[in-house]
Amino acid sequence: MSAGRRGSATTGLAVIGLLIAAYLAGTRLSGGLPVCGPLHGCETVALSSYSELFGIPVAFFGCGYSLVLVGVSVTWWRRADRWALLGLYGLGLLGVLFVAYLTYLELFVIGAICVWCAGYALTIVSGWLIAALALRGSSEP
Amino acid sequence: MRRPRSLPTSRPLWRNPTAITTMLAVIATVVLVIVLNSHAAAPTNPSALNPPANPVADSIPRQGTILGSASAPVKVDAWEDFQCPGCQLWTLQWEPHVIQDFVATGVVRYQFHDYSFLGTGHSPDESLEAAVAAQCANDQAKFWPYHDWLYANQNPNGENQGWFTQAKLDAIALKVGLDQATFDTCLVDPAKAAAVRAEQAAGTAIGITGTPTIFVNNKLQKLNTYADLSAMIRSLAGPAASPGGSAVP
Repeated sequence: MSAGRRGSATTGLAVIGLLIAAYLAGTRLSGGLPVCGPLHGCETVALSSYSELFGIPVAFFGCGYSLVLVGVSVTWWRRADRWALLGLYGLGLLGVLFVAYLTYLELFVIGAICVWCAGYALTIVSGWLIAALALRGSSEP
Repeated sequence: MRRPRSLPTSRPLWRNPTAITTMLAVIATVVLVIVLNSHAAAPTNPSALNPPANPVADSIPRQGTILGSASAPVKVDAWEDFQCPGCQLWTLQWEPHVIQDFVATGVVRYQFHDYSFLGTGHSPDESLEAAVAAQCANDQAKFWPYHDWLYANQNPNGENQGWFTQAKLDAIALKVGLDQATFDTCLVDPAKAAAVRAEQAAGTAIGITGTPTIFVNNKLQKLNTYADLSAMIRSLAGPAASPGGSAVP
């Protein structure tokens, strides 16, 4: 996979993540609950006390994070900027570790899995893996 | 011909941008997790559930939807719909006194009955679904806590507005400590819905048309104050009912 294709892949994943976070933030703003289909666990997660940080819904932080991720990813993709790739890797790692923690909370503390959160986590992990592979395949700045 | 692989440069770790970025990301995550963990203890979520202000005490003997001793001289039957505001009023303002003054003292055997009629014709039928949820909690010996949480979280803006969603019923199940998988299987069990409907039909057969409807020793009561109800219970109980009681409007 060329650097350009990798850049478009991480950008695509970041945009999907942003859409998921925006949906979760939107349902929160409207006072509703996310639609879960048959796997109704996301409502439980959304109602839990872990869905907020400093009184601000975690989904809002997810939106902000994804927005930055999209920006950095586009920079790397369009300009092949190595510092942007490094930023993408660092932000991605932060995201991976944090969604790992959130998934741990869902599984062992809240006792319910939110499909939207799992989908979001998947975009973060995949994006980070691509960035890490790209970083490994290139020389240090 | 293969290109000779370049030897790794002997760059110190602190000058390696990837290593620095990795460490920064790990440190930032650890800080975030610590902060989130310390703040999650106090729920500030506006859509979070309200805990019941006056739950049925664990010390009250119970069997399913019945509270109190089987040998109690007075029988009080409450027919309710979890969506009905009057039932909420009864549950929050009268029921705790009946329990405290008469059930705890062995005078009254108090039974909850489903008369889930407010959601009829609506899809989803929230009255039926809430009643089924409470019966599913009953299967796990948690009817009363579930009942308390349902009333503590009734929609303040009216009925049939998509308030008692499966999400909310699940969230209450979580609060009450039910086994989620068993509860979810039970929620969709048609036999449970049929049982709730059957109880409603039984209620209609004995003359119930609305909720809450209170029967004392099998006689339908039209009571305006708690004083009237407690006086009636005392008169029926005779010497078994000790004087005194809590003040209620």
